[in-house]
Amino acid sequence: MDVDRVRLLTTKKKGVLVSPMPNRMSRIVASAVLYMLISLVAQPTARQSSPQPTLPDVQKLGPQMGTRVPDFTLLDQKGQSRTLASLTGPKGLMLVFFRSADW
Amino acid sequence: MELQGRVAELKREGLSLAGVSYDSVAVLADFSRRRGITFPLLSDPGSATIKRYGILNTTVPETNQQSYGIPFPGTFMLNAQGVVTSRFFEQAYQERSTVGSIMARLGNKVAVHATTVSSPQLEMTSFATDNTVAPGTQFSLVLDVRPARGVHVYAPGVTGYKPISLSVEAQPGLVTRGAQYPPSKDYHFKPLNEHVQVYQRPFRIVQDVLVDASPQGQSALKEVTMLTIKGILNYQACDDKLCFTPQSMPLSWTVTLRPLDRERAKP
Repeated sequence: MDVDRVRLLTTKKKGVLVSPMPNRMSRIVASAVLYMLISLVAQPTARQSSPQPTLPDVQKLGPQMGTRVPDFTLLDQKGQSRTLASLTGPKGLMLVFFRSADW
Repeated sequence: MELQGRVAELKREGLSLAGVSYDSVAVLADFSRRRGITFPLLSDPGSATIKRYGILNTTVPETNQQSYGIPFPGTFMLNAQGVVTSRFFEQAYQERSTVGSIMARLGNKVAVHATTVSSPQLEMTSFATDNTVAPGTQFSLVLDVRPARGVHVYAPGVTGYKPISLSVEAQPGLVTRGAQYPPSKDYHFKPLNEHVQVYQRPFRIVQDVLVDASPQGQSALKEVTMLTIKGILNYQACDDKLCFTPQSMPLSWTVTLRPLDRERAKP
């Protein structure tokens, strides 16, 4: 019983150790993987040369947490003049800056 | 506009809502009429206020007459004194967090249909913050977890136990951001004199999801009207005596996808 168990373990171990592919084959795969890695690394460098507008970090733009936002006087869709105070509810205001209502 | 549907919900929280864009009063009036918008939309001619706030989209050249003057879209949550209590800004102009997503991230209740699943150790309520989404919509998948009395689950980063983790299946047309977990608490397991970070009180996991507005995303979502997002919650629950087997709970959320609105104002 014990011998059988040992044998079983050895076979299992051997199974793991045996390379799933012939040596040359795995070398071809390895070089293909290497090539892919190189092209992956190379690509961003190539892209950088094209003129792309640099995006600022939007999290750092505008009034930050804990600061008071600038007041304003703007007309709403009914032509009424609005300020921060006239817009704010008892607990506050959700102020949404959006792209455009036109496109 | 998703915003209009949330006005009542915000009002219950004591909050009001206003939008700012560079559009003329006439364009805003027409837009409000067509969409039934009742909350104030403010006209910022020449984008003076947008500039004063320092959020003008500087990647748009001044020569682009249609687009110049747009802000980096974003939302400020202000208290009654006008002080910023939180802010939500996206990198691309087509993207915007929904009010539901913002409310969820602030820990507020969100009025949507939710599904609750219970086990002896945990009660879990899951929902998507929005029923209908469009390209560029940044919404959230939310999981409210309530451990049973005396039960805890392990926080991300814990080793030796299975920490809680929400993973969402990747799919074309959907950009998933990392799940956000709340701060955890130290738990002292006396028999082993072990300190470990856990959740024992009800907590919320928020997973932000963006409907890809890029051309690739759009082609992937062509003809798609319903989006089903699948995820798995892995966790291990223990009480002060024993640990239960780690669990993998399948989750799914379904939202309606509507195309981008291309209707223009009629001046």
